[in-house]
Amino acid sequence: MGHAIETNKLTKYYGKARGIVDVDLAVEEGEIFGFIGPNGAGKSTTIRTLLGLIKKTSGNASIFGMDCEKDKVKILSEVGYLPGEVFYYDRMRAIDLLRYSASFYKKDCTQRIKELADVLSLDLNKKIEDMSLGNKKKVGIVQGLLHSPKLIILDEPTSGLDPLMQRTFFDLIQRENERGATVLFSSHILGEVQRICDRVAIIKEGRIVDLRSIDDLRKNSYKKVSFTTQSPLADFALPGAAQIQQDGAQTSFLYNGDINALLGKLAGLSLVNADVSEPELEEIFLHYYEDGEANA
Amino acid sequence: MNVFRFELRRAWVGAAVWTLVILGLLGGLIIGALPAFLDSRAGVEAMLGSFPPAFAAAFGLEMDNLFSFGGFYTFGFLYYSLFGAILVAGIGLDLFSREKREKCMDFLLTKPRRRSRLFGEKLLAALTLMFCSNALFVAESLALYRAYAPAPLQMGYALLAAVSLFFTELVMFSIAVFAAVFARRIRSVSGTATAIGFAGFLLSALHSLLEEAALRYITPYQYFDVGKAFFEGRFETPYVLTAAVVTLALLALSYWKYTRADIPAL
Repeated sequence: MGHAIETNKLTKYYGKARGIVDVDLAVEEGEIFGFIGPNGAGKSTTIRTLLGLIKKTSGNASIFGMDCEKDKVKILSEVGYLPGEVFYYDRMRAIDLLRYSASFYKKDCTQRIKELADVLSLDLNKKIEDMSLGNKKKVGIVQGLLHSPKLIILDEPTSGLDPLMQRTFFDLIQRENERGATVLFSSHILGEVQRICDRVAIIKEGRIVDLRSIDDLRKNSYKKVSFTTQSPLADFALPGAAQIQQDGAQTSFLYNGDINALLGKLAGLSLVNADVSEPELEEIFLHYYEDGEANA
Repeated sequence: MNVFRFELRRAWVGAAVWTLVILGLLGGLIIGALPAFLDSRAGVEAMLGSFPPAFAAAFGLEMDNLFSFGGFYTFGFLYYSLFGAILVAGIGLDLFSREKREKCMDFLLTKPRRRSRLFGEKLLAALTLMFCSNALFVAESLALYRAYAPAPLQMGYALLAAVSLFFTELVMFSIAVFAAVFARRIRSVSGTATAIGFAGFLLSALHSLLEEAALRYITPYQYFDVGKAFFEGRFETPYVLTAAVVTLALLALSYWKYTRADIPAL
Protein backbone atom coordinates (compact mmCIF):
# COMPACT_ATOMS: atom_id res chain seq x y z
CA MET A 1 0.00 0.00 0.00
CA GLY A 2 1.11 3.55 -0.67
CA HIS A 3 1.74 6.28 1.81
CA ALA A 4 -1.17 8.36 3.00
CA ILE A 5 1.23 10.99 4.34
CA GLU A 6 4.86 11.39 3.47
CA THR A 7 7.17 14.19 4.54
CA ASN A 8 10.77 14.60 3.62
CA LYS A 9 12.97 16.93 5.65
CA LEU A 10 9.92 19.09 6.24
CA THR A 11 11.02 22.28 7.96
CA LYS A 12 9.16 25.34 9.18
CA TYR A 13 10.63 28.41 10.82
CA TYR A 14 8.47 31.28 12.04
CA GLY A 15 10.93 34.03 11.29
CA LYS A 16 13.88 32.84 13.35
CA ALA A 17 11.80 30.79 15.76
CA ARG A 18 11.94 27.03 15.31
CA GLY A 19 8.73 25.31 14.26
CA ILE A 20 9.85 21.92 12.95
CA VAL A 21 13.18 20.75 11.54
CA ASP A 22 13.78 17.96 9.02
CA VAL A 23 10.64 16.03 9.87
CA ASP A 24 10.47 12.71 8.03
CA LEU A 25 7.19 10.87 8.35
CA ALA A 26 5.67 8.04 6.35
CA VAL A 27 2.13 7.12 7.35
CA GLU A 28 0.84 3.99 5.59
CA GLU A 29 -2.63 3.96 4.10
CA GLY A 30 -5.10 2.37 6.48
CA GLU A 31 -3.11 2.71 9.71
CA ILE A 32 -3.78 4.74 12.82
CA PHE A 33 -0.63 6.70 13.33
CA GLY A 34 0.12 8.39 16.60
CA PHE A 35 2.05 11.61 16.80
CA ILE A 36 3.16 12.38 20.26
CA GLY A 37 5.21 15.01 22.01
CA PRO A 38 4.96 17.64 24.70
CA ASN A 39 3.25 20.97 24.03
CA GLY A 40 5.28 23.17 21.74
CA ALA A 41 7.20 20.26 20.25
CA GLY A 42 5.90 20.89 16.73
CA LYS A 43 2.90 18.58 16.38
CA SER A 44 0.49 21.31 15.37
CA THR A 45 3.06 22.95 13.11
CA THR A 46 3.50 19.66 11.23
CA ILE A 47 -0.25 19.17 10.94
CA ARG A 48 -0.91 22.75 9.85
CA THR A 49 1.77 22.49 7.19
CA LEU A 50 0.14 19.30 5.89
CA LEU A 51 -3.22 21.08 5.77
CA GLY A 52 -1.85 24.11 3.94
CA LEU A 53 -2.68 26.46 6.82
CA ILE A 54 0.97 27.47 7.03
CA LYS A 55 3.66 27.43 4.38
CA LYS A 56 6.71 25.22 4.81
CA THR A 57 10.16 26.79 4.86
CA SER A 58 11.78 23.83 3.10
CA GLY A 59 11.41 20.11 2.47
CA ASN A 60 8.47 18.24 1.02
CA ALA A 61 5.09 17.07 2.20
CA SER A 62 2.61 14.97 0.29
CA ILE A 63 -0.73 13.35 1.01
CA PHE A 64 -1.85 10.41 -1.15
CA GLY A 65 1.08 11.20 -3.41
CA MET A 66 -0.09 14.78 -4.02
CA ASP A 67 1.89 17.85 -3.05
CA CYS A 68 0.45 19.58 0.02
CA GLU A 69 0.79 23.05 -1.47
CA LYS A 70 0.19 22.54 -5.18
CA ASP A 71 -2.66 20.04 -4.86
CA LYS A 72 -4.14 21.45 -1.69
CA VAL A 73 -7.74 21.58 -2.89
CA LYS A 74 -7.75 17.97 -4.12
CA ILE A 75 -6.13 16.81 -0.89
CA LEU A 76 -8.52 18.71 1.37
CA SER A 77 -11.55 17.12 -0.28
CA GLU A 78 -10.28 13.78 1.11
CA VAL A 79 -9.23 15.05 4.53
CA GLY A 80 -11.23 15.51 7.71
CA TYR A 81 -9.63 17.68 10.38
CA LEU A 82 -10.48 18.06 14.03
CA PRO A 83 -8.49 20.70 15.92
CA GLY A 84 -7.91 20.69 19.65
CA GLU A 85 -10.11 23.69 20.29
CA VAL A 86 -13.19 24.19 18.17
CA PHE A 87 -14.67 27.58 17.36
CA TYR A 88 -17.49 28.26 14.96
CA TYR A 89 -19.53 31.16 13.67
CA ASP A 90 -21.82 32.98 16.10
CA ARG A 91 -25.58 32.88 15.78
CA MET A 92 -25.64 29.49 14.08
CA ARG A 93 -27.34 26.24 14.91
CA ALA A 94 -25.23 23.08 14.70
CA ILE A 95 -27.22 21.84 11.73
CA ASP A 96 -26.67 25.10 9.79
CA LEU A 97 -22.94 24.98 10.40
CA LEU A 98 -22.79 21.33 9.35
CA ARG A 99 -24.80 21.99 6.20
CA TYR A 100 -22.46 24.84 5.36
CA SER A 101 -19.51 22.54 5.97
CA ALA A 102 -21.09 19.83 3.78
CA SER A 103 -21.68 22.32 0.96
CA PHE A 104 -17.93 22.34 0.29
CA TYR A 105 -17.92 18.66 -0.71
CA LYS A 106 -19.36 17.20 -3.85
CA LYS A 107 -21.53 14.65 -2.09
CA ASP A 108 -24.72 14.48 -0.11
CA CYS A 109 -23.78 14.29 3.56
CA THR A 110 -27.26 14.65 5.09
CA GLN A 111 -27.60 11.02 6.14
CA ARG A 112 -24.08 10.89 7.52
CA ILE A 113 -24.63 14.03 9.62
CA LYS A 114 -27.70 12.44 11.16
CA GLU A 115 -25.93 9.15 11.87
CA LEU A 116 -22.95 10.82 13.53
CA ALA A 117 -25.16 13.12 15.59
CA ASP A 118 -27.11 10.07 16.80
CA VAL A 119 -23.96 8.19 17.80
CA LEU A 120 -22.68 11.22 19.73
CA SER A 121 -26.16 12.18 21.05
CA LEU A 122 -25.80 15.70 19.72
CA ASP A 123 -28.79 18.06 19.46
CA LEU A 124 -28.41 19.55 15.99
CA ASN A 125 -30.99 22.28 16.49
CA LYS A 126 -29.17 23.98 19.33
CA LYS A 127 -27.16 27.14 18.76
CA ILE A 128 -23.45 26.35 18.90
CA GLU A 129 -22.61 29.32 21.12
CA ASP A 130 -25.04 27.99 23.76
CA MET A 131 -23.36 24.59 23.84
CA SER A 132 -20.97 23.21 26.44
CA LEU A 133 -17.34 22.68 25.48
CA GLY A 134 -17.98 18.95 25.09
CA ASN A 135 -20.94 19.48 22.77
CA LYS A 136 -19.01 22.01 20.67
CA LYS A 137 -16.37 19.34 20.34
CA LYS A 138 -19.00 16.92 19.11
CA VAL A 139 -20.00 19.40 16.42
CA GLY A 140 -16.32 19.45 15.49
CA ILE A 141 -16.21 15.66 15.27
CA VAL A 142 -19.28 15.51 13.02
CA GLN A 143 -17.84 18.36 10.96
CA GLY A 144 -14.59 16.48 10.50
CA LEU A 145 -16.19 13.17 9.55
CA LEU A 146 -19.36 14.09 7.65
CA HIS A 147 -17.80 13.70 4.19
CA SER A 148 -16.35 10.24 4.97
CA PRO A 149 -12.75 11.39 4.48
CA LYS A 150 -9.96 9.01 3.45
CA LEU A 151 -7.58 10.70 5.86
CA ILE A 152 -8.58 11.91 9.30
CA ILE A 153 -6.26 14.32 11.07
CA LEU A 154 -6.87 14.76 14.78
CA ASP A 155 -4.92 17.40 16.70
CA GLU A 156 -5.32 16.82 20.46
CA PRO A 157 -8.91 15.76 19.87
CA THR A 158 -9.97 14.54 23.29
CA SER A 159 -9.66 17.74 25.33
CA GLY A 160 -13.10 18.71 26.59
CA LEU A 161 -14.61 15.24 26.16
CA ASP A 162 -15.64 13.33 29.24
CA PRO A 163 -14.25 9.78 29.61
CA LEU A 164 -17.46 8.17 28.38
CA MET A 165 -17.54 10.36 25.30
CA GLN A 166 -13.83 9.75 24.73
CA ARG A 167 -14.62 6.09 24.49
CA THR A 168 -17.43 6.70 22.00
CA PHE A 169 -15.05 8.92 20.06
CA PHE A 170 -12.31 6.27 19.92
CA ASP A 171 -14.88 3.67 18.81
CA LEU A 172 -15.98 6.04 16.07
CA ILE A 173 -12.42 6.61 14.89
CA GLN A 174 -11.73 2.89 14.94
CA ARG A 175 -14.84 2.26 12.85
CA GLU A 176 -13.73 4.89 10.35
CA ASN A 177 -10.37 3.14 10.25
CA GLU A 178 -12.02 -0.24 9.58
CA ARG A 179 -13.91 1.46 6.74
CA GLY A 180 -10.51 2.22 5.25
CA ALA A 181 -9.65 5.68 6.56
CA THR A 182 -6.11 6.49 7.58
CA VAL A 183 -5.82 8.37 10.86
CA LEU A 184 -3.13 10.76 12.07
CA PHE A 185 -3.65 11.24 15.77
CA SER A 186 -1.64 13.83 17.63
CA SER A 187 -1.62 13.96 21.39
CA HIS A 188 0.53 14.69 24.38
CA ILE A 189 -1.08 11.88 26.34
CA LEU A 190 0.77 8.60 25.86
CA GLY A 191 -2.08 6.42 27.10
CA GLU A 192 -4.46 7.76 24.46
CA VAL A 193 -2.08 7.02 21.67
CA GLN A 194 -1.30 3.54 23.01
CA ARG A 195 -5.01 2.85 23.09
CA ILE A 196 -5.74 3.07 19.38
CA CYS A 197 -2.58 3.57 17.35
CA ASP A 198 -0.59 1.07 15.31
CA ARG A 199 2.61 3.09 15.20
CA VAL A 200 3.76 6.23 16.87
CA ALA A 201 6.26 8.97 16.06
CA ILE A 202 7.71 10.93 18.93
CA ILE A 203 8.55 14.57 18.34
CA LYS A 204 10.62 16.76 20.58
CA GLU A 205 11.80 20.30 20.03
CA GLY A 206 10.76 20.21 16.40
CA ARG A 207 12.48 16.96 15.49
CA ILE A 208 11.29 13.36 15.29
CA VAL A 209 13.25 11.51 17.95
CA ASP A 210 11.75 8.07 17.58
CA LEU A 211 9.35 6.01 15.51
CA ARG A 212 8.00 2.77 16.93
CA SER A 213 5.19 0.30 16.70
CA ILE A 214 2.88 0.39 19.67
CA ASP A 215 3.76 -3.25 20.44
CA ASP A 216 7.38 -2.28 20.60
CA LEU A 217 6.55 0.66 22.80
CA ARG A 218 4.61 -1.59 25.14
CA LYS A 219 7.46 -4.07 25.35
CA ASN A 220 9.79 -1.25 26.16
CA SER A 221 7.33 0.62 28.24
CA TYR A 222 8.62 2.11 31.42
CA LYS A 223 6.75 2.03 34.68
CA LYS A 224 7.15 4.69 37.27
CA VAL A 225 7.69 2.97 40.62
CA SER A 226 7.86 4.60 44.01
CA PHE A 227 7.65 3.09 47.46
CA THR A 228 8.21 3.96 51.09
CA THR A 229 9.84 1.56 53.51
CA GLN A 230 9.60 1.48 57.28
CA SER A 231 13.24 2.44 57.62
CA PRO A 232 15.50 4.03 55.03
CA LEU A 233 17.14 1.58 52.62
CA ALA A 234 20.90 1.61 52.47
CA ASP A 235 21.11 0.75 48.81
CA PHE A 236 18.55 -0.22 46.23
CA ALA A 237 19.39 -1.96 42.99
CA LEU A 238 17.34 -3.92 40.51
CA PRO A 239 18.11 -4.91 36.90
CA GLY A 240 15.95 -2.71 34.62
CA ALA A 241 15.62 0.13 37.11
CA ALA A 242 16.88 3.52 36.02
CA GLN A 243 17.02 7.00 37.51
CA ILE A 244 16.89 5.58 41.04
CA GLN A 245 16.30 8.33 43.54
CA GLN A 246 16.36 7.77 47.30
CA ASP A 247 15.16 10.30 49.78
CA GLY A 248 15.04 8.97 53.32
CA ALA A 249 12.60 6.10 53.43
CA GLN A 250 11.26 6.91 49.96
CA THR A 251 12.66 5.34 46.80
CA SER A 252 11.55 6.01 43.22
CA PHE A 253 12.75 4.90 39.79
CA LEU A 254 11.71 4.11 36.23
CA TYR A 255 11.46 0.39 35.55
CA ASN A 256 11.72 -1.45 32.28
CA GLY A 257 11.74 -5.21 32.75
CA ASP A 258 9.85 -8.24 34.00
CA ILE A 259 7.04 -7.08 36.25
CA ASN A 260 7.31 -10.30 38.32
CA ALA A 261 10.90 -9.56 39.14
CA LEU A 262 9.85 -6.11 40.32
CA LEU A 263 7.06 -7.43 42.50
CA GLY A 264 9.31 -10.14 43.87
CA LYS A 265 11.85 -7.56 44.88
CA LEU A 266 9.25 -5.35 46.50
CA ALA A 267 7.73 -8.30 48.37
CA GLY A 268 11.02 -8.76 50.16
CA LEU A 269 10.91 -5.29 51.65
CA SER A 270 8.85 -4.10 54.55
CA LEU A 271 6.73 -1.48 52.79
CA VAL A 272 4.57 1.32 54.11
CA ASN A 273 3.33 2.36 50.67
CA ALA A 274 3.94 1.51 47.01
CA ASP A 275 2.86 2.99 43.73
CA VAL A 276 3.37 1.68 40.18
CA SER A 277 2.11 4.00 37.44
CA GLU A 278 2.53 5.14 33.83
CA PRO A 279 5.31 7.68 33.61
CA GLU A 280 4.60 11.15 32.29
CA LEU A 281 5.69 11.79 28.76
CA GLU A 282 8.33 14.17 30.01
CA GLU A 283 9.89 11.42 32.08
CA ILE A 284 10.12 9.19 29.06
CA PHE A 285 11.70 12.00 27.12
CA LEU A 286 14.24 12.40 29.85
CA HIS A 287 15.19 8.90 28.95
CA TYR A 288 15.64 9.78 25.31
CA TYR A 289 18.10 12.40 26.35
CA GLU A 290 20.04 9.99 28.51
CA ASP A 291 20.06 7.41 25.71
CA GLY A 292 21.35 10.07 23.37
CA GLU A 293 24.14 11.00 25.73
CA ALA A 294 25.02 7.35 26.33
CA ASN A 295 25.30 6.74 22.60
CA ALA A 296 27.35 9.84 21.97
CA MET B 1 -20.79 29.78 -4.75
CA ASN B 2 -21.69 28.55 -1.28
CA VAL B 3 -19.41 31.09 0.42
CA PHE B 4 -21.05 33.88 -1.61
CA ARG B 5 -24.52 32.78 -0.48
CA PHE B 6 -23.37 32.30 3.12
CA GLU B 7 -21.87 35.78 3.30
CA LEU B 8 -24.93 37.38 1.71
CA ARG B 9 -27.23 35.68 4.19
CA ARG B 10 -25.16 36.84 7.15
CA ALA B 11 -24.55 40.42 6.02
CA TRP B 12 -27.70 41.57 4.27
CA VAL B 13 -29.63 42.75 7.33
CA GLY B 14 -26.93 45.19 8.46
CA ALA B 15 -26.56 46.47 4.91
CA ALA B 16 -30.32 46.90 4.59
CA VAL B 17 -30.55 48.95 7.79
CA TRP B 18 -27.83 51.42 6.73
CA THR B 19 -29.31 51.64 3.23
CA LEU B 20 -32.64 52.62 4.75
CA VAL B 21 -30.88 55.29 6.81
CA ILE B 22 -29.31 56.79 3.67
CA LEU B 23 -32.54 56.57 1.66
CA GLY B 24 -34.45 58.16 4.54
CA LEU B 25 -31.96 60.99 4.88
CA LEU B 26 -32.05 61.70 1.12
CA GLY B 27 -35.85 61.62 1.03
CA GLY B 28 -36.13 63.68 4.22
CA LEU B 29 -33.79 66.41 2.98
CA ILE B 30 -35.29 66.74 -0.50
CA ILE B 31 -38.98 66.23 0.32
CA GLY B 32 -38.99 67.75 3.79
CA ALA B 33 -36.36 70.52 3.72
CA LEU B 34 -35.79 71.58 0.09
CA PRO B 35 -39.19 73.32 -0.49
CA ALA B 36 -38.88 75.34 2.72
CA PHE B 37 -35.32 76.28 1.83
CA LEU B 38 -36.34 77.44 -1.66
CA ASP B 39 -39.21 79.48 -0.18
CA SER B 40 -36.79 81.53 1.87
CA ARG B 41 -34.89 82.47 -1.30
CA ALA B 42 -36.86 85.75 -1.82
CA GLY B 43 -35.84 87.00 1.61
CA VAL B 44 -32.17 86.16 1.11
CA GLU B 45 -32.16 87.67 -2.38
CA ALA B 46 -33.82 90.89 -1.19
CA MET B 47 -31.06 91.21 1.34
CA LEU B 48 -28.47 90.61 -1.38
CA GLY B 49 -30.21 93.28 -3.55
CA SER B 50 -29.33 95.94 -0.99
CA PHE B 51 -25.61 95.23 -1.56
CA PRO B 52 -23.66 96.80 -4.45
CA PRO B 53 -24.34 94.96 -7.74
CA ALA B 54 -20.73 93.79 -8.09
CA PHE B 55 -20.90 92.19 -4.69
CA ALA B 56 -24.12 90.39 -5.53
CA ALA B 57 -22.66 89.25 -8.83
CA ALA B 58 -19.65 87.86 -7.07
CA PHE B 59 -21.92 85.64 -5.05
CA GLY B 60 -24.58 85.22 -7.72
CA LEU B 61 -23.45 82.00 -9.25
CA GLU B 62 -23.03 80.25 -5.95
CA MET B 63 -26.35 81.52 -4.70
CA ASP B 64 -27.97 80.24 -7.88
CA ASN B 65 -26.44 76.82 -7.23
CA LEU B 66 -27.39 76.66 -3.60
CA PHE B 67 -31.00 77.59 -4.25
CA SER B 68 -31.53 74.75 -6.62
CA PHE B 69 -32.15 71.04 -6.47
CA GLY B 70 -28.52 70.37 -7.51
CA GLY B 71 -27.02 72.70 -4.92
CA PHE B 72 -29.07 71.23 -2.16
CA TYR B 73 -28.42 67.66 -3.33
CA THR B 74 -24.68 68.37 -3.37
CA PHE B 75 -24.86 69.87 0.13
CA GLY B 76 -26.46 66.66 1.46
CA PHE B 77 -23.91 64.46 -0.24
CA LEU B 78 -21.31 64.82 2.47
CA TYR B 79 -23.72 63.05 4.81
CA TYR B 80 -24.73 60.38 2.29
CA SER B 81 -21.00 59.75 1.85
CA LEU B 82 -20.50 59.46 5.59
CA PHE B 83 -23.33 56.95 6.05
CA GLY B 84 -22.41 55.16 2.84
CA ALA B 85 -18.82 54.84 4.07
CA ILE B 86 -19.98 53.41 7.40
CA LEU B 87 -22.19 50.97 5.50
CA VAL B 88 -19.47 49.67 3.19
CA ALA B 89 -16.72 49.75 5.81
CA GLY B 90 -19.03 47.56 7.89
CA ILE B 91 -19.49 45.16 4.99
CA GLY B 92 -15.76 45.01 4.23
CA LEU B 93 -14.75 44.52 7.85
CA ASP B 94 -17.51 42.02 8.53
CA LEU B 95 -16.90 39.75 5.55
CA PHE B 96 -13.13 39.82 5.51
CA SER B 97 -12.52 39.50 9.25
CA ARG B 98 -15.39 37.07 9.93
CA GLU B 99 -13.26 33.95 10.42
CA LYS B 100 -10.59 35.92 12.29
CA ARG B 101 -13.14 37.43 14.69
CA GLU B 102 -15.02 34.23 15.28
CA LYS B 103 -11.80 32.19 15.45
CA CYS B 104 -12.82 29.77 12.72
CA MET B 105 -10.07 30.31 10.16
CA ASP B 106 -9.22 26.62 10.59
CA PHE B 107 -12.77 25.68 9.68
CA LEU B 108 -12.93 27.63 6.43
CA LEU B 109 -9.33 27.22 5.30
CA THR B 110 -9.27 23.44 5.63
CA LYS B 111 -12.18 23.16 3.22
CA PRO B 112 -11.33 22.10 -0.33
CA ARG B 113 -11.39 25.59 -1.76
CA ARG B 114 -8.53 27.82 -2.91
CA ARG B 115 -8.03 30.92 -0.79
CA SER B 116 -8.19 33.02 -3.96
CA ARG B 117 -11.66 31.62 -4.59
CA LEU B 118 -12.74 32.34 -0.99
CA PHE B 119 -11.50 35.92 -1.35
CA GLY B 120 -13.30 36.22 -4.68
CA GLU B 121 -16.64 34.96 -3.36
CA LYS B 122 -16.47 37.27 -0.35
CA LEU B 123 -15.63 40.20 -2.62
CA LEU B 124 -18.50 39.35 -4.93
CA ALA B 125 -20.93 39.13 -1.99
CA ALA B 126 -19.78 42.53 -0.72
CA LEU B 127 -20.05 44.14 -4.15
CA THR B 128 -23.51 42.64 -4.60
CA LEU B 129 -24.70 44.24 -1.36
CA MET B 130 -23.12 47.57 -2.31
CA PHE B 131 -24.61 47.39 -5.78
CA CYS B 132 -28.12 46.73 -4.46
CA SER B 133 -27.84 49.53 -1.91
CA ASN B 134 -26.64 51.97 -4.58
CA ALA B 135 -29.23 50.90 -7.12
CA LEU B 136 -31.87 52.02 -4.61
CA PHE B 137 -30.01 55.26 -3.89
CA VAL B 138 -29.68 56.09 -7.59
CA ALA B 139 -33.34 55.22 -8.25
CA GLU B 140 -34.51 57.44 -5.39
CA SER B 141 -32.18 60.28 -6.44
CA LEU B 142 -33.47 60.23 -10.00
CA ALA B 143 -37.10 59.97 -8.91
CA LEU B 144 -36.66 62.99 -6.61
CA TYR B 145 -34.82 64.87 -9.34
CA ARG B 146 -37.74 64.30 -11.74
CA ALA B 147 -40.24 65.36 -9.09
CA TYR B 148 -38.47 68.40 -7.62
CA ALA B 149 -36.06 69.85 -10.17
CA PRO B 150 -37.36 72.35 -12.73
CA ALA B 151 -37.16 71.59 -16.49
CA PRO B 152 -35.01 71.17 -18.51
CA LEU B 153 -33.81 67.99 -16.80
CA GLN B 154 -30.28 66.71 -17.36
CA MET B 155 -30.85 63.05 -16.46
CA GLY B 156 -27.31 62.07 -17.51
CA TYR B 157 -25.71 64.57 -15.15
CA ALA B 158 -28.03 63.63 -12.29
CA LEU B 159 -27.22 59.96 -12.81
CA LEU B 160 -23.47 60.63 -12.74
CA ALA B 161 -23.88 62.62 -9.53
CA ALA B 162 -25.87 59.84 -7.86
CA VAL B 163 -23.44 57.13 -8.98
CA SER B 164 -20.52 59.04 -7.43
CA LEU B 165 -21.63 57.69 -4.06
CA PHE B 166 -20.85 54.16 -5.25
CA PHE B 167 -17.37 55.22 -6.38
CA THR B 168 -16.64 56.90 -3.04
CA GLU B 169 -17.92 53.80 -1.29
CA LEU B 170 -15.56 51.59 -3.31
CA VAL B 171 -12.59 53.56 -1.96
CA MET B 172 -13.84 53.33 1.63
CA PHE B 173 -14.63 49.63 1.16
CA SER B 174 -11.08 48.87 0.04
CA ILE B 175 -9.72 50.65 3.14
CA ALA B 176 -11.96 48.47 5.33
CA VAL B 177 -10.94 45.23 3.56
CA PHE B 178 -7.30 46.18 4.01
CA ALA B 179 -7.86 46.82 7.71
CA ALA B 180 -9.79 43.54 8.11
CA VAL B 181 -7.08 41.45 6.47
CA PHE B 182 -4.03 43.12 7.99
CA ALA B 183 -5.22 43.86 11.54
CA ARG B 184 -4.30 41.17 14.02
CA ARG B 185 -7.81 41.36 15.41
CA ILE B 186 -10.96 43.37 14.89
CA ARG B 187 -12.78 43.93 18.14
CA SER B 188 -15.95 45.55 16.87
CA VAL B 189 -17.07 45.77 13.27
CA SER B 190 -19.57 48.59 13.81
CA GLY B 191 -17.14 50.59 15.97
CA THR B 192 -14.29 50.31 13.49
CA ALA B 193 -16.61 51.02 10.53
CA THR B 194 -17.91 54.18 12.22
CA ALA B 195 -14.33 55.26 12.94
CA ILE B 196 -13.36 54.79 9.28
CA GLY B 197 -16.46 56.73 8.15
CA PHE B 198 -15.79 59.65 10.51
CA ALA B 199 -12.10 59.74 9.63
CA GLY B 200 -13.17 60.35 6.03
CA PHE B 201 -15.62 63.01 7.23
CA LEU B 202 -12.95 64.82 9.26
CA LEU B 203 -10.50 64.80 6.34
CA SER B 204 -13.24 66.25 4.16
CA ALA B 205 -14.01 68.99 6.70
CA LEU B 206 -10.31 69.76 7.04
CA HIS B 207 -9.96 70.04 3.28
CA SER B 208 -12.96 72.44 3.02
CA LEU B 209 -11.58 74.55 5.83
CA LEU B 210 -7.96 74.83 4.68
CA GLU B 211 -8.68 74.71 0.92
CA GLU B 212 -5.29 73.10 0.53
CA ALA B 213 -5.26 71.39 -2.88
CA ALA B 214 -2.76 68.69 -1.95
CA LEU B 215 -4.95 67.60 0.94
CA ARG B 216 -7.65 66.54 -1.51
CA TYR B 217 -5.52 63.61 -2.64
CA ILE B 218 -5.98 61.99 0.76
CA THR B 219 -9.65 62.96 1.10
CA PRO B 220 -11.72 60.08 -0.31
CA TYR B 221 -15.05 61.94 0.01
CA GLN B 222 -13.69 64.60 -2.35
CA TYR B 223 -12.26 62.31 -5.04
CA PHE B 224 -15.58 62.46 -6.87
CA ASP B 225 -16.91 66.03 -6.80
CA VAL B 226 -20.66 65.58 -6.92
CA GLY B 227 -21.21 69.28 -7.78
CA LYS B 228 -19.00 68.98 -10.86
CA ALA B 229 -20.89 65.83 -11.85
CA PHE B 230 -24.30 67.43 -11.37
CA PHE B 231 -23.65 70.78 -13.07
CA GLU B 232 -20.95 69.88 -15.58
CA GLY B 233 -21.42 66.14 -16.09
CA ARG B 234 -17.81 65.22 -15.32
CA PHE B 235 -15.32 64.25 -12.63
CA GLU B 236 -11.74 65.53 -12.36
CA THR B 237 -9.31 63.04 -13.85
CA PRO B 238 -6.40 63.33 -11.35
CA TYR B 239 -8.69 62.52 -8.42
CA VAL B 240 -10.51 59.74 -10.27
CA LEU B 241 -7.12 58.20 -11.02
CA THR B 242 -6.07 58.58 -7.38
CA ALA B 243 -9.26 56.84 -6.28
CA ALA B 244 -8.70 54.00 -8.74
CA VAL B 245 -5.07 53.51 -7.71
CA VAL B 246 -5.85 53.59 -3.98
CA THR B 247 -8.74 51.15 -4.34
CA LEU B 248 -6.94 48.67 -6.57
CA ALA B 249 -3.72 48.83 -4.55
CA LEU B 250 -5.50 48.20 -1.23
CA LEU B 251 -7.54 45.33 -2.67
CA ALA B 252 -4.47 43.81 -4.33
CA LEU B 253 -2.46 43.96 -1.10
CA SER B 254 -5.37 42.45 0.83
CA TYR B 255 -5.65 39.64 -1.72
CA TRP B 256 -1.92 39.00 -1.50
CA LYS B 257 -2.05 38.76 2.29
CA TYR B 258 -5.26 36.74 2.44
CA THR B 259 -4.03 34.09 0.01
CA ARG B 260 -0.57 33.69 1.56
CA ALA B 261 -0.71 34.34 5.27
CA ASP B 262 0.22 31.62 7.74
CA ILE B 263 -2.72 30.79 9.97
CA PRO B 264 -1.32 30.31 13.48
CA ALA B 265 -2.85 27.81 15.90
CA LEU B 266 -5.17 29.38 18.44
